[in-house]
Amino acid sequence: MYSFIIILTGILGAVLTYFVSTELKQGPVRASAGLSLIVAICFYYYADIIELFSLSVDSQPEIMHEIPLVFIGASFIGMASSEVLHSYILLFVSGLIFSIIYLNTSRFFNGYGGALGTAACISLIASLSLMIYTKRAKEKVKNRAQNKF
Amino acid sequence: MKKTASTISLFVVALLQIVFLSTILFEKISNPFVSFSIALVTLLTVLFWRKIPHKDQDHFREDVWLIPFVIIGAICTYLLSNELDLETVIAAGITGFTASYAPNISKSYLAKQFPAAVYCGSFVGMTAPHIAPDFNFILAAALVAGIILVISKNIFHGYGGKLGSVAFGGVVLVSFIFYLVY
Repeated sequence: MYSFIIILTGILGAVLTYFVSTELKQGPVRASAGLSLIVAICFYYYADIIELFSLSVDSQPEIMHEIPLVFIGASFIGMASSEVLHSYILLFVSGLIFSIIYLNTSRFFNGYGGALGTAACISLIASLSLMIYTKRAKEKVKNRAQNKF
Repeated sequence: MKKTASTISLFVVALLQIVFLSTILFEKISNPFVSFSIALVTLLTVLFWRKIPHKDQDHFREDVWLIPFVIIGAICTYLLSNELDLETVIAAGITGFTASYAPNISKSYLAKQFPAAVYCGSFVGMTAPHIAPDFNFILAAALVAGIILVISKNIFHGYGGKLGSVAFGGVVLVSFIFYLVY
């Protein structure tokens, strides 16, 4: 349940920020900072109300503290411009990779400012790279199939 | 000159990303799923570095102003979180959200650059007290992050996470210097 919530938060952070930044034309900084501020206020100051709606989250009380951190980290992915990123599937994949990195981040970098941003940058680059190489592999298969006929 | 600046900043960011991923790999080596996933992410990241486009924009004299903007963001976030005891995400959120309205006040080149630079600084200000023992550390880290932000103008343009990576560069480099000096 803990991992599921972190992954869901990561994906939502990336997708919502991109939506507010590009579709609602609020710009990347306002989208990321504004949404993170709302999520942080909800989870830090209204945690009691949110806990009423949660099922088994109370077994992991620290998750209330981590959700805003995951959200702001994932929101950096959504700050990408529409020239670089124009697919919601890629945002979904980037958010997923970010959550996996977050769940396994080394204790060595605990507390370093910008560590979440680095994880976000890596997630975005990895998903863009995945898209390029998947496309290339598909084209190769297509070409081979055409050559056979 | 432009190419050299881009190459240096790309090298710094790439090195930090490799160190970041390597520490996870070393810690989680006993977990095959995590090790495989992180190794795959590392491979994909390294393969993509060659494809990162380099823009050919000139560095203006105004770009130097990004450094004090980064410092302002770092100081505001640090003070909000340490003096007013706000959570770091809230402190960074308030700083970034306020800065995002600068282009509404003025249409100048600097006003357009202001939100991103201040938000970059706010990530420096999010550094935990056990890493940033005093105010001098934040100032030094913000200064280094500001310099990296200026020289990285032509790379990672429009890439999400660029500002965080730049901030991370500043914090890691300064903590390494502080470790050597003190």
